[in-house]
Amino acid sequence: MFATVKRLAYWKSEHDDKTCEDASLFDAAAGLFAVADGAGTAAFSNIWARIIVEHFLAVPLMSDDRFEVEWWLRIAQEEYSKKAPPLAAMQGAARKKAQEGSYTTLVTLRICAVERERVQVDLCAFGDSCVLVCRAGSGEDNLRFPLEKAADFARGPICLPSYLKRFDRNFTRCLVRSTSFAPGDRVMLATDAVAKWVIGGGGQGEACYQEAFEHVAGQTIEGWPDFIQQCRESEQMVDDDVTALVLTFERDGARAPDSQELGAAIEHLREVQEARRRAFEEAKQRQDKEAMAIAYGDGRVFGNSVGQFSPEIAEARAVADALHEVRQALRGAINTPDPQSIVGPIWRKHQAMLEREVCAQEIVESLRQNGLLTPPPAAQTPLPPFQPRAHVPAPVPGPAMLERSRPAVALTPSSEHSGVANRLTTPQQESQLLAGLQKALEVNDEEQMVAVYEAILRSPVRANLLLTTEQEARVQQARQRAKALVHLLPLLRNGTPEEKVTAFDYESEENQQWLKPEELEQVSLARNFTEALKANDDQELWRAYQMILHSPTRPTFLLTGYESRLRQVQASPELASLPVNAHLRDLEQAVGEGNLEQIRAAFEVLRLNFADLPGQLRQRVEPAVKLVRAMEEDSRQADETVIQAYNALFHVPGNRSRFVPEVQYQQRVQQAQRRLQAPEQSWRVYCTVNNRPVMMKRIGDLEALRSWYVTLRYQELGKRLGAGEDRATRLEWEELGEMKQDKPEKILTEDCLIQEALEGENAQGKLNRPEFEGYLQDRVRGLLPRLRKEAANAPAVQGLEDVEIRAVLEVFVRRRWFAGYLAQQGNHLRDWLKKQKKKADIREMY
Amino acid sequence: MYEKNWGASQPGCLILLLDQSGSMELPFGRGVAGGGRRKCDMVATVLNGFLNELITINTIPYPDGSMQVRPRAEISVLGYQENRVAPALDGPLGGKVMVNLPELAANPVNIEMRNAKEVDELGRVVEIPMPFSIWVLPKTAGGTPMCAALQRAGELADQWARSHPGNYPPVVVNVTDGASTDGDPTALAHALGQISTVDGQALLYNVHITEHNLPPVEYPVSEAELPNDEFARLLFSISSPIPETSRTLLETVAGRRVSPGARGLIFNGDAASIQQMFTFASAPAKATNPNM
Repeated sequence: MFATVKRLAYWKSEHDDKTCEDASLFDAAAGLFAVADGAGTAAFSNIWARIIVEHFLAVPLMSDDRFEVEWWLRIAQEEYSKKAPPLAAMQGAARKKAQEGSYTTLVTLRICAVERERVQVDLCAFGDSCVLVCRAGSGEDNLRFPLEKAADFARGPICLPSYLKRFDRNFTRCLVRSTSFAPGDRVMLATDAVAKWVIGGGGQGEACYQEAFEHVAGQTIEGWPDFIQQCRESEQMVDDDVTALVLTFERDGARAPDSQELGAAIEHLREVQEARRRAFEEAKQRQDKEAMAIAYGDGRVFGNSVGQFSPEIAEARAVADALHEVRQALRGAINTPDPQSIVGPIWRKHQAMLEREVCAQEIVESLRQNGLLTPPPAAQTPLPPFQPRAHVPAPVPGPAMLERSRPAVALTPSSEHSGVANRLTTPQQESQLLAGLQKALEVNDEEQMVAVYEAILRSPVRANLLLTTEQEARVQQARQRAKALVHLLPLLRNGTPEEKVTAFDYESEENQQWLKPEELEQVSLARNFTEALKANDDQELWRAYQMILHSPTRPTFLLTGYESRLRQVQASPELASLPVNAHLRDLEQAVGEGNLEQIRAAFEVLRLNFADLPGQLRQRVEPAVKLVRAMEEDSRQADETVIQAYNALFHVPGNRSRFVPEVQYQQRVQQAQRRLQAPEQSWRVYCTVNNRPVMMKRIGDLEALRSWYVTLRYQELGKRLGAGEDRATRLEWEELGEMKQDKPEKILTEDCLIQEALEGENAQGKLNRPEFEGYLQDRVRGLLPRLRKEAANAPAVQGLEDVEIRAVLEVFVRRRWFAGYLAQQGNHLRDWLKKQKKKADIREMY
Repeated sequence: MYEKNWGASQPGCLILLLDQSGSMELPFGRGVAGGGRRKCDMVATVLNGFLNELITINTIPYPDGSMQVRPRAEISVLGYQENRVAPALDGPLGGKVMVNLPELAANPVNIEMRNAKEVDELGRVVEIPMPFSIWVLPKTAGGTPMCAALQRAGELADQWARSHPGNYPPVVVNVTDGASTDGDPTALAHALGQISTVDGQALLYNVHITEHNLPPVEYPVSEAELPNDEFARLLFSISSPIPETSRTLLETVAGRRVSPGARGLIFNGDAASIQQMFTFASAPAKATNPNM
């Protein structure tokens, strides 16, 4: 393929050819074309715009990845620092303006593949310089990118800054689009004044786009100034620099003597790639994660699939983003009367991630020098809360930690600590900490819970911490969750859709299981949004945006960086016909009327996942739709769905008055129940305890039983240790502490496996049952009445007899002895025990 | 209408009316921007800061270190106190009713060096010395002759519009902390609104500031949004509607949604309100689109 390229350039009345702030450049053989429009309100924008187009031709930007853009832009900024006039030579307002740096928009066309009849291109735009297309055929699909309407030009464009300190990688985002061109197609890369004129049909309305395009494309280089002057005089065009590159694609170069053969740009020059790899390795060596993330960019040079990052890179990007957010907050706050109120919360959010990072040392120092760091922790030696180790002199667990009868949280610091010499917290601060934890527990604020608890552990007030076992368990669960999801949770609380999705995808499946349903829903919303953004699909993007707006998780989404894009979408004509909002209203109406068929129909028109629906609506729609769908199927799985959905729909208190079960639903449910009983009754049995099945729903209650056992036993052992050192007691006490750290799901699964095996062996008379049960007498007998009392609210525990409770706990208490068995479940338990019988513990038991 | 930008060949006209009555001696409330400082001091500081900013934006630095200030705006600053209205610029420009930007830039009363904090690319906080020119000094005395001020502003605007018929119409910003003491300004304000160029009628925006910690009412669409106060309703009635072409821009400046038909009025404002209104009123000087 060939193309003729015409460059049309003229300047605003205040400018001349030297001060004109537009720049354009192309290299047809390399397949690269660029037009930039320097900001008239900034200094030396002509220099900066020129640098940007030259840089694009030398090192084309090939991705909209935020870090790729930053890597690319930083190189251009280095060039600007060399070419821009020195500040020292300037005075007064000139210097002040130069200190602000320069800005420019940019639009580029990069040819990715050249065939005889077609070229494949990637378009990229920062701001309001545009690519305008006039196809050879019918005139349909005449692309206008990134702005499509004349009214879009009224908004301030996104510009590339010449100074890094003015660059916000979350805000300065480019829009990209891929398309192809055939012989006869014409393309114009134009700065805003001429682009607006063409899109507006030369003042005749947007319907006259093609005529306006023809008019500009038909201009000669010599006639361009006169044409522009006429447009200005007739007030059709504003007084601005006006530049356009007009490309006409041709099958061969025979018809136009000045046509040029087109090439393609698919990768950077080898030396650029090598320099980049070196930069990455150097950053890695000095453990500078921000520099790593930037040098890595979208990862293509490193053989990475776009959008998929290794944990190392994912972490580097997370650190870089956190650091960026703190820097931006500091920039916004440093000249305000109370910077602490702005920077403090942002810093605390990222403190754990950043404070030891090499790349964050400068910002940490700045925060310290400006008194913006969170007050340092009070104690220098953190005390583990519930995990005493053999090599650490374990504190004797006095009544402080577990005494149920005492107040949940002590609100006054103890006098024994009030005179501690190295105390860094005041009694008032200590009281605030304790009250803060109580408040966090009351409102179930996990973030606050963990933060305050950790602060308490580092302070003298830790000795005064009195938590009920439930509270202790809740805090520990929150800490485990926070630890497992250290990178993801902050972004779920406050992050862009892309950050949420990226952080979620980096988490292991195991860690992802810590997420709550509403957090998974949030990720799903974020994913819809980012995928629509990547696909540049306006309708899907608007739909995803609406879903976020209607979701209870809306406050967790940072959408400021997408405002420009969303404004474009909002202004697109297609959106006017987008029925998503009307369909949502239909759905809400159907729910209000309680008509299940209508609910299903309205939901399916929306083409959404259940997770996309706002929380409360989802609770009503999901079971209704599932029930109606399952009614039409005839399978065991459908039977299960029918029962679950029916129960969810008709037995949820809020729904009772809304939905009235019709006969056909009742009949189908009865049919499902009949089928699911009888021969395959055990399918819902998680394990058996003394030959009685333990159903799935009871597992959580059994966990409560175990939790209480640990609490009470731990307390009892503590008292014994207080009376005198005893090795066995200490070992058991430590073991309980460690058990507390295991995930409940893991414990339950393992216990059930052991339980099953024990019961199996026992049923065949191969285990000495009295001895097996007797072991627990010592440990559990005295605790049973209190266990009964404490776990009174757990329905499953209420249904168990004492012997069953003992059996459950027996396995739990001794589960660590079965570690080898669990690792080799192919063995029968009896065979495994035989192999182990030399071990003292096993002999003791059997 | 209201589509022209301010440019060197088609400059804009900005008339700033400053209430310099005795009550401007009182400090702003503690809880607002400028809290604890005298209103007259804060108005002078904000105005000088605004003029510095306007000049910087319209300055073209050249690589050899020289610079040019584009004459994209003509400015009049009038103070009103006791029973008179007088030009409020001090120093070499003292007594001048209307000045253009290059004149303003070249003739401050004084240039102070102030340190602004900046955060560099690594996150280090650095102090950058910034020249800060002073043109207006705080003054206070007597009553609030708002009618006389609007009368004078009307004369200036009319004169300017006649000599610049093709330009963006004159914009008048009135900063006051109290009711007029020389009569009802309604008729004068409406007369001012009749002055026009081909691009629209002259605009009158009002900023009412108060020493009390009261919530400001910004850009109301109806009187119902205002406190039950006669003076508030008066200011509403004399404030021009925000031109539709500027509404998006105002939303950007104000950081909030502005409804169509909103009036150019801030009631119970503080120092930040004055800055916001000045910035908005002079927006055509910076061009709606920064690329121009």
